[in-house]
Amino acid sequence: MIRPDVKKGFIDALPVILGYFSASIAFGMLARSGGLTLWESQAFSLFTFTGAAQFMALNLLAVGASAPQIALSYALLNMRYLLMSAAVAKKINFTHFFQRPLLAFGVTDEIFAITTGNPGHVTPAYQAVAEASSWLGWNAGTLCGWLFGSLVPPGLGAAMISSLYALFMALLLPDLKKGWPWIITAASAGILNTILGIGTSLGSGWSFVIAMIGGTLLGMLLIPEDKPCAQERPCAEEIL
Amino acid sequence: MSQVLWIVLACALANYLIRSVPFFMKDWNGVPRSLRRFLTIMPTAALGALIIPGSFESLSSTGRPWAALGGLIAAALAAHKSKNLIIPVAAAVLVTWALLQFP
Repeated sequence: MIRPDVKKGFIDALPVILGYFSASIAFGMLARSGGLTLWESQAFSLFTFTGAAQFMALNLLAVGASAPQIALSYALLNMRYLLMSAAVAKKINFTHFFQRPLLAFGVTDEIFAITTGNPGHVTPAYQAVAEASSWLGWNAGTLCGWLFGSLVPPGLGAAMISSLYALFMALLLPDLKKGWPWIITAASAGILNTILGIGTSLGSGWSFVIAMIGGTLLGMLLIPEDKPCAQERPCAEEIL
Repeated sequence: MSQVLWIVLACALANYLIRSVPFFMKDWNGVPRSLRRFLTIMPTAALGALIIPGSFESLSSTGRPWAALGGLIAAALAAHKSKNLIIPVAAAVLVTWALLQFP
């Protein structure tokens, strides 16, 4: 007999597992073509488990960036997890202290979305199953991509990277539906990121952070103060 | 240990610190309202900056970066129709792949 919270954790995570599997096949393929060994490619997924930043790290490695530069860019790109982790932590009914450091490891954009999408609180077991199965999917894909990537036709391989951006788009859509101020916030951050990336030598880490802060500040001016939260998912302001 | 593994280690540390600190914070009452508002709106801007220009750049090797737009539109439409995240992912891969096949 499987506990219902364990079962629900897996069912909720299933789409994320499949999406991760497909996106991380692309990561494994790119890592190999970038000259990384199997273990180096796998270590990224095993120990950092963070979609967009891993792809960014491959780009930075390719242009010969140093370890501190890459780590700093990683931290900057992932600064958004401060908020997401805070929201996720508030949703879990912890029963033991040791659950905190363990469950903190697997917070991603998609895990944030499914955890906070639950009404009320979730059990540590639910959260552990959702995080661990997503992590396994991400790592299985990385492994397959590195090992068998050469069998995938080049066109399909390129198309598979789009699964990562499709996940981002699906997470962004509830915000976009709330109206123009939200659309402008997201679009301005994207446009600013593009301009900074093309027009300056800041590097993608700094460009991203400046674009993210710029877009947020513009959003603070445009978005009415009374109702900042999405209908579909609870937001930080309600949770914190 | 290779240079790359040191980089992975540094990234893993940076990443874990960011994810774990909020798990040990008990009290958010001292956080000013403007900062909470900033944190509320930030994911929207972050996702925007993650999608643009990354989705287009990821296809630059194919010579058809614009195909990403088709994938994004397909993902948005599919996410609008279905709560299930598999649908937008499948739709985006399919549409992007189809757009890359045109002669």
